[in-house]
Amino acid sequence: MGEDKKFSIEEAFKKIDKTIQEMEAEDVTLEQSFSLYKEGMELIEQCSKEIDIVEKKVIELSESGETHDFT
Amino acid sequence: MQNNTYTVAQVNNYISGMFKDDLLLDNISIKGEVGTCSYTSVGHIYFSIKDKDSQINAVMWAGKRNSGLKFKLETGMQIVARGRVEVYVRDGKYQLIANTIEQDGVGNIYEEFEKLKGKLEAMGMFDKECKQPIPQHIKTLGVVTASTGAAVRDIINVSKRRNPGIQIVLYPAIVQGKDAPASIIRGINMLEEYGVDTIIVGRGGGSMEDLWCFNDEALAHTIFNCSIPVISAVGHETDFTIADFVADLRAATPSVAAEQAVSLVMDDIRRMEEQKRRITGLLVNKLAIYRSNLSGYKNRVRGLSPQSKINEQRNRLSSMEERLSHRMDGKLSNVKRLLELKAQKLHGLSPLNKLGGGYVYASANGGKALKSAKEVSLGDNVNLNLTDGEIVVKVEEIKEY
Repeated sequence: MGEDKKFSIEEAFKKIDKTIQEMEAEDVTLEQSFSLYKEGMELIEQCSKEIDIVEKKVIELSESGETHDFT
Repeated sequence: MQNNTYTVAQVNNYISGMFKDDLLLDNISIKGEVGTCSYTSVGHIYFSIKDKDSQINAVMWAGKRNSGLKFKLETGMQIVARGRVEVYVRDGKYQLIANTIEQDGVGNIYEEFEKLKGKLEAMGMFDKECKQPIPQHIKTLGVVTASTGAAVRDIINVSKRRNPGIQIVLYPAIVQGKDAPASIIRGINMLEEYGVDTIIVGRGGGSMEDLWCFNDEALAHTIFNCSIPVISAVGHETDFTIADFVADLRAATPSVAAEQAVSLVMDDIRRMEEQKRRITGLLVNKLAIYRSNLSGYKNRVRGLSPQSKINEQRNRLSSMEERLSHRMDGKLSNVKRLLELKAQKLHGLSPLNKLGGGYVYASANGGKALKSAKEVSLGDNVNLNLTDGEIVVKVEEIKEY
């Protein structure tokens, strides 16, 4: 399975946690710190895009595979 | 009459007529276990029904199978067969011509359930290792259930409450009766093809017979083979079906299934904010540490520069100067004070002070202080100084001591 096949928010959360852990290490350099920060913030940005709070309609899948709104 | 002789056919036809006239034999239900059982090439089923004391032959014509038999008849099954008992004149045998065959009793269904459960379990289909994890955050939820009823409403309400942005794709399935398994299987396959993140398969509560379609073997295989995680939600907490065992997760009810499938979006937002705060805090800290290190280094380097050496020496010099001048001032004022003191003393000792009280300052020969009687001669002028004036006198007598 491809790793970046699909963005998954829980994977992203895990990655961010890991990034935080790495940043917490004593011996991390400033340069590493910056690149980790950048990486982390990009992931957070993606997460926030992923968290969609716009309400959606339920759709119904018909026998033929067509969809229409479910009421 | 007793000496009459009949042909075999006559006797068998006579008996056949007797059977036909019998109201009980014309429409009778017989229960027992299936003994032998064979399907012919054209679809007739020849079988026997037996119990521990007896057995009877039976047949179901192919034409009756559609309406009268909903399962594959197999040896060992407990059944109730309904039909009429007829004589087969050619062989002189009687048999049940079955119109319907049903499996006998709940106890027996349960046995069947246990048998299938054991079989699938042995195949490893219930193994924990085969369970797919349910994703924590999903965008699209597939639901296979009836489009009416409490189950679909519960799933939609709970899901929307937890995450208004969730896209629910419903496959309206038949969830009861003999067409249900095929319909549910089709729903799972279609949602798999459509591409959802998690599938909930289930229905609301009902009798054991109502839920029976979820014990279908083909459905079990479909759920097992589904590449998308499947949550089963059949009936109430106490209902267990084969689908529950084979699903990646069993939810007690449809509402619970929705809770397990759909994450609370507020949790995600909170988690994200927390991560953002931490990651920013860490960078800010790192920068602060570096900045403070830098200013430390800067001070140290500055301390080592020639300019600073010069400044330092200049400072030392000026401080020495200051100290010196301070010292000097001290010295001078000391001397001044001493001088004053001495002046006062001197003043006190001044001969002029002593003039008066009979003492005078005598000078002669052009102002020289007169120290000896020998310095003057008779007739010389001697000046006598007093505090308030001068007297000039003439020497008239000299007496030496």
